Amino acid sequence: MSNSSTTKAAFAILQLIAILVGVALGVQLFQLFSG
Amino acid sequence: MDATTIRRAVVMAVGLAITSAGLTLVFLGMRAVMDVGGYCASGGPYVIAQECPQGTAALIPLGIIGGLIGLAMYAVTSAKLPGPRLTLLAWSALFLSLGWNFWEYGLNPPDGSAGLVWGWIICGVMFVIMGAFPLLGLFSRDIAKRLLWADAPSGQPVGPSQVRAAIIPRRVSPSSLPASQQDSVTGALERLAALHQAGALTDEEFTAAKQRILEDQ
Repeated sequence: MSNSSTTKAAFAILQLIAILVGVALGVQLFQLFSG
Repeated sequence: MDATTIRRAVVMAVGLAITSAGLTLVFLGMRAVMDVGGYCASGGPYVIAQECPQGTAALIPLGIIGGLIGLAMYAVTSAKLPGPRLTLLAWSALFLSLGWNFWEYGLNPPDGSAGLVWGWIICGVMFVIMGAFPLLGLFSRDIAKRLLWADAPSGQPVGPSQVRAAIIPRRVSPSSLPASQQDSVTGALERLAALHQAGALTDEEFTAAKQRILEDQ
C-alpha cells in the first residue's frame, strides 16, 4: 500500500469528514430524542 | 487501491463517525443533566426527586456503548491504513469535553447563583488532567508522527507460495552444484517434509514442490 503524503492526506481528510459527520449526527440524534 | 483497503477505509470512517456521535451524545446528555442540577433518576418504583431530562436516560448509555463499538471498529482498521491513528486521542476527547462541562457549569451555576460550584470545578480539574495526559505524547516527534501521520504496516501474510519460494532453491545446473548446495537441497527436502507434516502444505503442494527440487538435481 502506498505511504505517500497524498495517500496519508486523503485518509486524514476522510477522518476529518467522518468526525464532522459524527458530531452532526450526534447533535441531530440528541435533538430528535430529547425533544 | 484494492478492495480490502477500500473496505477497511469504509469501516474506519463509519467507526470514527459513530465514535464522534457517541462522544457528542455523552457531552450533550451531561449538559442536559447539569442543567437540572447535576443529578437525576428515571424509572423504578421509588419517588424521584429530580426526573432525568427527556431522552437522556437512553441517549447517554447509547453514546457510551455506541462510542466504544465505533472506537473498536476504528482502532482495528486504522492500524492497517496510512494516515492519522486517533484511537488514543478519543480518551482526551472524552475527558476534555466532559471537563469543559464541569468548568463551565462550575463557574456559571445553572441555578443563576453568583457563587462557584467547587465540586464541579474539582471534577473539572481532574478531568482536564486525565484528558491532557495522552496529549503530552504529542510533544514527542516520534509519537506525534505515529498518531497523526503513520505509515501503513508493510508486512504481508505468509502463504504457501511464500513458503515454497523461501525453501526451494532457484534452478541451477546440477553438474556445477557444489557440495554445500547439495546439502542445502537435502535441507530443503527436510524442511519441506516438516512443513507437510505440520499441515502447512497440502499433499499436492508437497508432491509438486518435492518433484521440483528433485528435478533440479
